[in-house]
Amino acid sequence: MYNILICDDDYDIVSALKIYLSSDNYNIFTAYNGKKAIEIIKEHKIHLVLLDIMMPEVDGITAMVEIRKISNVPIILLTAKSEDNDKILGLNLGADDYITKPFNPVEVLARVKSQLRRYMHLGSQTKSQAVIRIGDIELDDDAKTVTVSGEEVSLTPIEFDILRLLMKNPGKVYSTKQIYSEVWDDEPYGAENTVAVHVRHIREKIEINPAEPRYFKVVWGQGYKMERRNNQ
Amino acid sequence: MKNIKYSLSMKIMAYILITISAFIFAVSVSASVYIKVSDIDRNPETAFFESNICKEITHDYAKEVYYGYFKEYMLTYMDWQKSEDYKQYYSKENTNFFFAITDNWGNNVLSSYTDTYGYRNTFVMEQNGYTVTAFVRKDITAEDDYLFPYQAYNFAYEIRQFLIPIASISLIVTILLFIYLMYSAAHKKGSDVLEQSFIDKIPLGPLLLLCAGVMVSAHFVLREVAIALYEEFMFEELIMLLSFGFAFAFISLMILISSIAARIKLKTLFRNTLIYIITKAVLGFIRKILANISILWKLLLAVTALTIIELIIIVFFTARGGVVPVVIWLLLRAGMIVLFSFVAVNMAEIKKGGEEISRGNFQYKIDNKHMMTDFKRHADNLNNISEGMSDAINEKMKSERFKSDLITNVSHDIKTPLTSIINYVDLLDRQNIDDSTSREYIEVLKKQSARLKKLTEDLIEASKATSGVIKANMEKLNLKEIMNQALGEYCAKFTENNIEPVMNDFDEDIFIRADGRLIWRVMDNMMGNICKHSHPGTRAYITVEKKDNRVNICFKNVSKEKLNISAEELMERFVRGDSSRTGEGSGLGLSIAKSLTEIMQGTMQLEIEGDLFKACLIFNKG
Repeated sequence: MYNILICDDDYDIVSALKIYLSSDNYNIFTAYNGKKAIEIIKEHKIHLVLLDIMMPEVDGITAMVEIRKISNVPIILLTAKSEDNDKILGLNLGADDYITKPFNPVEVLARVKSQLRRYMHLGSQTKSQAVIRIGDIELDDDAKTVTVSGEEVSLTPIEFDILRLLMKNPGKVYSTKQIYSEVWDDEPYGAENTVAVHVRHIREKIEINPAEPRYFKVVWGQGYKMERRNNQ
Repeated sequence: MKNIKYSLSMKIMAYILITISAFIFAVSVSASVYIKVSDIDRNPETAFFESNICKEITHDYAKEVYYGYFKEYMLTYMDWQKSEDYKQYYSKENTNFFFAITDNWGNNVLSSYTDTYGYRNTFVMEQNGYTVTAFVRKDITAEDDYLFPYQAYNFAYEIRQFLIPIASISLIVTILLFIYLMYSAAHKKGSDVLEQSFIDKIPLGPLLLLCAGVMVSAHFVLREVAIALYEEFMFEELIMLLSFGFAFAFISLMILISSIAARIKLKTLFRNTLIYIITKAVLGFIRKILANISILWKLLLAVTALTIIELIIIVFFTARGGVVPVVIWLLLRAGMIVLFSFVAVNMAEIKKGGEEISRGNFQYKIDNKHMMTDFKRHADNLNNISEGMSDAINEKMKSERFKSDLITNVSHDIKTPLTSIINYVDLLDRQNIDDSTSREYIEVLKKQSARLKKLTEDLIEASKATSGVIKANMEKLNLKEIMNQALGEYCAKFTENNIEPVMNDFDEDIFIRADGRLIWRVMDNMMGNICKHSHPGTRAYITVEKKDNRVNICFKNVSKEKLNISAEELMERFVRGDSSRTGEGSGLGLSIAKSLTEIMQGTMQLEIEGDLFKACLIFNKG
């Protein structure tokens, strides 16, 4: 039973989120401004915070900075602002993830689950050499399995090879041509466009929102890379 | 303080005081000089009696005695009564003068009051065998012509040791007052600005003439009167007259000098001269004429003048030969070259400015400091045009940004209630509702709320793209990689909509200059359009072509709806408020793609032929 704090000044949004998260067996705390949120975190053992940015009195960013002084609980920001600058600011100031309004409830649930798993289980598992972990994605080269937030995902052998190639070198950009010659072990004669299709499939399987990937990123005009972020 | 300092009464007082002090100075200086010259300080007893003025008075009195009293005495053996009158006239109480007349043998003929009590100065006049010996009494008490000069001499002697201090003090006072007058010139009571008084408004030449005229005429008038008074020994009147003359001359001189000082302060010393005023008027007139005739006439005038001068040279000088006419002709040509170079340089400057403006560089300013007449005006006009354009553009950018901010803010406010709508519709959807009508309604709500979400997002993006808030981070990008990535992303959607994308086989080393993230947004819109609007079962053609320094990426597909609007309308449909569309999406996709392409210095062209829709993106080669 995890304790989740939902903080937003809009009553209806809080209620809706409460309904969604309760159905997944979470214990929900609610707050309608930043001040209350900080008080709840001081009084209770909270495992995850969903925090709105634009709130009266103490806004989300200020509240987050305050929370970070006392706790390293995962914080997911909720906001109507979708500009890149706001996202970067939020992440730099200590947020773990970012969801823009209007959000898809399923996506919120997936992200909550992902953050909780990372927060609660990290370091508790025995690591073997064959296991590569980036964020909450785990690739076991011996068992040829991939799990996301603890749930196994079924990948085709080609998809598995592509993911392994990129996860071995997080941060490095691979062009479609390079991926083709590494994975297929063949000269790429115009066949590399299939790589892009496979990549899309992988992203649909391992990312919560494939259009806005957290880990498996598209570098337009250059190739693909695995994000180094949250890598432990 | 300031108020009193420059008040008129203060100034008048200063004029009076300076006149008095200057007068005292002049008198004391001339007095001390006179004391030295007339030996008053060394022989105070005799100085007066030996002075010319004393001798002249004595001479006059002696003549009076001889031609008056003595003649009458000799001719008529005067009657007793008359003799008594004379005696009375020459009595000790009446005059300081006395005399003795002797004949050739030294016999005393006639004398006045001959007690020999202290006399000095004698005067001897010999006439017709008679000798008139004149005396002046040592103690001058009677009121006659002697008295005033004698008192003046005594007074001068008495105050001789004060003269130098008096002269010094009066000189200092004069100088101080002079400084004050110079300083206060052109200042007016209660005003900080320099102002012209009515005297300062008179041109300098006439003012000088006036002053000089007044002084010269005063000199001549006073001179005659002064001589007459002196001859009559009317000393008091003479002194008054001279004082008046001095004051008059001195005050006019002071007024002149302070007016000149005021002119220097006002910088009108040269400007307020007749020559300057006339020259300026003439030049102004010529300039006005030049300003009102066209450049063609100016040119004709200049050429005509040159021609006439050359004609004169040819007609008058060439016959005689020599070097002079050739030199003059060469000088004229040199002048012409200078003139034409000036014109050419100005033209070049203006041309450059015009080119800059036509290129859109409204910051460029034509430097017209050294230009003249028409060129200067032309350059001014061009500068004004570019300034106006730049203002208009700035204004436009400002209003675009304002619009964008407004849209963004409103959209953010819309998003919060929209979140609840979407969430609760979803929750409703999860209820076990069996009623088919309710389910149908929920589907509509889901679809429309999703559309509203897309619309808000597109609206923000479109407003940001058109208002220049988005800045492109231009890099060299591999086009093949981009197209493969984009097709890979859309693979599933193409299959889903039963559309087969066909891309031509192009070189792997085609690079474009663009922003990676922005070009994906453009591709996303283009591909999304194809998926949404293509007729199922058709092929969509994507062709990449290199053309000189540009790269064309064209998308062709067959529309499933009838395309009965023009390409322009399609692109600006939303902006124009045309609501004749159906289906999903906001209708802003093409407009966003176009704006983003333009931010990356590319262009987008649309073509519609029947049901064939063709969109081309043109980027710079990387």
